Amino acid sequence: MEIIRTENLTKRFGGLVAVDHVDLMVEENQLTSIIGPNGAGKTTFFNLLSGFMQADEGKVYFKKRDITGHPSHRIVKEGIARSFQLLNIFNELTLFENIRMAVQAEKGHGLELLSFINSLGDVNDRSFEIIKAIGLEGKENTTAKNLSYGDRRILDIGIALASNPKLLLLDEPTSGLASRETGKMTDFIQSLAKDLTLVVIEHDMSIVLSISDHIAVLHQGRVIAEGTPAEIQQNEEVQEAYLGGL
Amino acid sequence: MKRTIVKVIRHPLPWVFIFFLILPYLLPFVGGYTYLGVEVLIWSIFALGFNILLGYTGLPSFGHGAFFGIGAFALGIMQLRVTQGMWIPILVGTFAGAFFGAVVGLFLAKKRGIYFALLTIAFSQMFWFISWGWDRMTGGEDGLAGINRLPVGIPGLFRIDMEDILHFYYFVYFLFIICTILIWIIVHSPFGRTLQAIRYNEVRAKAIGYNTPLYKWISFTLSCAFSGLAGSLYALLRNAAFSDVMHWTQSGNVIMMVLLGGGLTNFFGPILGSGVFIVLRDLLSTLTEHWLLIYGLLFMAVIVFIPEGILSFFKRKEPKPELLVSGK
Repeated sequence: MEIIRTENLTKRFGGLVAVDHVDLMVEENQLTSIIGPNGAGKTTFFNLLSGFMQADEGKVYFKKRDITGHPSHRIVKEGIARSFQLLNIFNELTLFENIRMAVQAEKGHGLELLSFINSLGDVNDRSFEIIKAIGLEGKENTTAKNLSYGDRRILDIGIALASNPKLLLLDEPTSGLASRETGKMTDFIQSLAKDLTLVVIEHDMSIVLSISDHIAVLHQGRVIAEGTPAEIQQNEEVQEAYLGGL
Repeated sequence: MKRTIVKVIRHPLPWVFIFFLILPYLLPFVGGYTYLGVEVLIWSIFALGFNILLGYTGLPSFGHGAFFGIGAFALGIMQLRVTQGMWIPILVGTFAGAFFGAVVGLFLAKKRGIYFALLTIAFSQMFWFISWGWDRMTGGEDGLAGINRLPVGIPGLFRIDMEDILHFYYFVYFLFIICTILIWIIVHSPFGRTLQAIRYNEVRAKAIGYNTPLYKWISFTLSCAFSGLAGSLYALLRNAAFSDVMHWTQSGNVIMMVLLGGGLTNFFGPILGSGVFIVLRDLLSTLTEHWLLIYGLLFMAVIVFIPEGILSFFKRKEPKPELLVSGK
């Protein structure tokens, strides 16, 4: 079953075509990785899917519904959440508040001007649940900027999870992590993949090959290959463009 | 019951209210007078409302004097041309601030930082220019004179004379309490927390599903409503409305009050800031005509030594998660 599909999706920056007529379909309950060299258009592609940028051409269908041009805050409500390549959390707020803000948005309490946050029992309970699920319990009171880098990376994904998405887009979740933390993150991503559809941008090929059900290779804005990890490893064009003859 | 009492006593709000309750009787000891107290209350309402935008949403408006002035003129025009009274003109002044704020806010909601600031200046100058030029409505250069503090009361039951400055002080004090509690609730509500999230990281706030321009627009409109209210009270205090308060250089005063008191990190900063600003201005200007020079130096000292303002030693606390678990 398809969950998200792009048709002819194109984004230009001046003369540069960052995303070039991409047709890509993601299967539900699979982990799809997007790989490609720097500047291949991976993050731009994510920005188009999540409404952070508007496409110049083409369409995005989520669960067969056209969501092209929807603003980011609406796309989250429709069920697509994302994490960010560069850490993007509320540094000044506590871990708990970081998660709580996302749960509050998901449950639609944001526009309540005259109630107290303490009275939102469902929001608070759900926030504790998520903190437990991402394994950061006990650190609820810590200001986010004082968490370790690895924990902040997890928190970045936790905030996205708190939006209760059907599809989660992870933009280089292991970037900047030490090798021990990378292992922890890989396990975490695999545990998420059990009940979520994931699309992951990742540079580390050993991780990509071990966790993915499906891989799409972007090169200069175009999808040059798609397939299972085994197929991608054997594809000559991919080897030339990206793997450097692995 | 006992716990509720302890909670109320530990809360700073009642102490602030008690302080202003007895302030008129303390002022003579420091060379002040009741008129000054009213001014502090009015500017406190203005600054507290303004701080929803500056301190909580992180949007620097350099044009809120315009909405203060609009409130003053709206009250004046109502009283002089439509209805003799207090409540309706004050309400109209408040709504006029909110209405013009809402319209201007539409142009600002998607802006940030310097672009936001510059646009607020442009809009406020536009309003100032209109108030200056529209003689027939606003009195132009001379302002709108003849505004009266009319008696307030319930017909047949009681009637309080507002010409007496002490009576007017308690009238404004009553509105100050309502506004302070209202603003306190708003900034501590789910909405208020969202404003702070937007201040810290607007991109992520969007990514988790907040329509941030809408929140910024509401924040702007709310702050303009309080500006309008403060402006109409100010017109009553001065028995007149003038264009000068709408000039963008005057909008700087409310920013100074918020920063001086520590409004960026403490709810009560704007109140302390207004008090310090107005009392100091009064004291210094009786000492020397070059009071602005001393004033500027004092302000610079605060910025250098306590950049987050006087009350920054008592920072806003975030809610303690353990208190939030339902069922506890």
